[in-house]
Amino acid sequence: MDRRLVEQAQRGDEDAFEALVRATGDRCIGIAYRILRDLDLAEDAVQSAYVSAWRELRSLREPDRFEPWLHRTLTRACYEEARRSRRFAANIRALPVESSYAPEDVLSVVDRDQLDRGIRRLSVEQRAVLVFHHYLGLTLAEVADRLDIPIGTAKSRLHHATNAMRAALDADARPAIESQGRPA
Amino acid sequence: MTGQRDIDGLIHSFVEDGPAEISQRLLASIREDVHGTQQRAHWRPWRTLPMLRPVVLLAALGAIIVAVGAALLVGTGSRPLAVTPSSAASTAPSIGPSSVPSPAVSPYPLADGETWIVLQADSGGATLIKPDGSGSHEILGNLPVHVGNPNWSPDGRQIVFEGNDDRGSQLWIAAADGTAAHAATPTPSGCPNAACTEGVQPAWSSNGRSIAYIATTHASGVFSKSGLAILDVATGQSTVLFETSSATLVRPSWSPDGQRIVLEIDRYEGAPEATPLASSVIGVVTVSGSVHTPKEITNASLLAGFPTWHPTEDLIVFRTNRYDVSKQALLDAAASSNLYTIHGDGSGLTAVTKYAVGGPIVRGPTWTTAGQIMFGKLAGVSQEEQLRVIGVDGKGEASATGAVVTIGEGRSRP
Repeated sequence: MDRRLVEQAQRGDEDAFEALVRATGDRCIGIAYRILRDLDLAEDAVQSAYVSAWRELRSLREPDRFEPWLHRTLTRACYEEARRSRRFAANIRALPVESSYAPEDVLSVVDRDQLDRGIRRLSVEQRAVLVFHHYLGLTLAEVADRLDIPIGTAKSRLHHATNAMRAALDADARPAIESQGRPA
Repeated sequence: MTGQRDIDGLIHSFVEDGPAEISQRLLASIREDVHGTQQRAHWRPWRTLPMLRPVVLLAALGAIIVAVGAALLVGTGSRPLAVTPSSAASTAPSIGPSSVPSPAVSPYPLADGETWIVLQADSGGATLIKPDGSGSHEILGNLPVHVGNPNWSPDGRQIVFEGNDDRGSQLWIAAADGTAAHAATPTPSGCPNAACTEGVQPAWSSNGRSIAYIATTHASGVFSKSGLAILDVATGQSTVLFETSSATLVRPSWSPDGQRIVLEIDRYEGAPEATPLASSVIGVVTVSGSVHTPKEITNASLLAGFPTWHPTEDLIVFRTNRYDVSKQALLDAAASSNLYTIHGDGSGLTAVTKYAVGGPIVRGPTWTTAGQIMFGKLAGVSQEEQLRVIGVDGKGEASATGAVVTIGEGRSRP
């Protein structure tokens, strides 16, 4: 991240902040979607996070830490979206794959469906740990730092999340209709 | 059954799946919102506004006077701390200082008597800053661990902190200038996969001989037990005074005479850490003797937490109704958040503030030398935190000029 852009944005430069949004936006939408499992909610969370980040940018003590700080703000925005939205309780189908990675080689349709059901049963806090660990590839210490939680809590949430995902895979395949309306 | 390696790979593949590109429409919306939003003028410690300096200086001066008073008490032999392992207590293996890559000579030597504030830094180290906002610099940034909850020794010459890495958190001690950092509690072998006890939230006793901390054990990532432990600074040996598997213990604080420790006890709707927090109470542990079970001195309905013992008197300040960061809401949305005081034996419960339901949220109360309470106050769940000072009688609440305080739980050097 360009430190100068952050410092310019801290001085109120909206163009510099827009450059920061363009540089970090893809990753933020990726994180938010994977936590919330809903693109509309994810976009609301990302928009809320960036506006909050802009408003609070002068409180950032270390400009080099802009992205971790932004991710913490984004996670809080995701929590808030999850809490506010009734839609979060509904089962929403996953969007088509847009990744260059070829998940079909690894995941079967059944696997993906079961994992999708599994992740929806997790709390939003557990999802956040799962996403930061597996999607961003962060270590547990980095996850704890990024989410502002103790390492023990991060470990505990990851453990429960992994077990829940394993249970979802181990369960017999069920018709998708069964999970309609199941609380997340 | 799905193996560990398989499930990690499958989850990794699964989370790769999905959108990862911000839309032009969303970029335009953000640009429009940002254009219509003013940045907040946060107070930055190293750029202290002149109007805030008297407040910060008062806090730092207060801490110095308290520490000197405490040191005098110890020096006159007033009820020194006596940690007596009991039959119920367990002892952890002792360790010596570890070799770590902290500098032998600090580029920022701290002279005795100089006042500094230590804060946890965003970068993973700690920030030292003078009360007037000058001299800001980072220490402990080159360690193999991230620094958490830094706290001074009573003579101001050392700092104890949580050292966080992938194996968990342990206590570390360094000289006040950041040199000579070493692990003070051992990382059990096998962490984090096997049973692993972490050390967090250290608090140095006023005589400097002991450090109270919370020892939390996870087994294969699942909460197992939470304990109140005391580290003998001279020997490096830890003694667990009390532990429980049905609750988590939080933020110990010593009584002025070193005979008791107050802490927060958090209880959950089901398994600790795996289910939502249900309630919290204040407990007091007697250090000496054979029984170390906390005596609960508040009712669960108060949702009491963050107790801090007065540096010279038998008076504990605490706040009610925790603000849950992850939910961005109070634990009990139908209750208010207030400051209370209580004596160590549970008598004299007194409301300091009388904020109404839906009113401000109070956090992190500590004491000033003048017997006042300094605390964080949020006007609402989405508002910034401000530093406030109030008398024990609830009178004379003063604003820190309305500026936002970002020092969080910064602590002044004694």
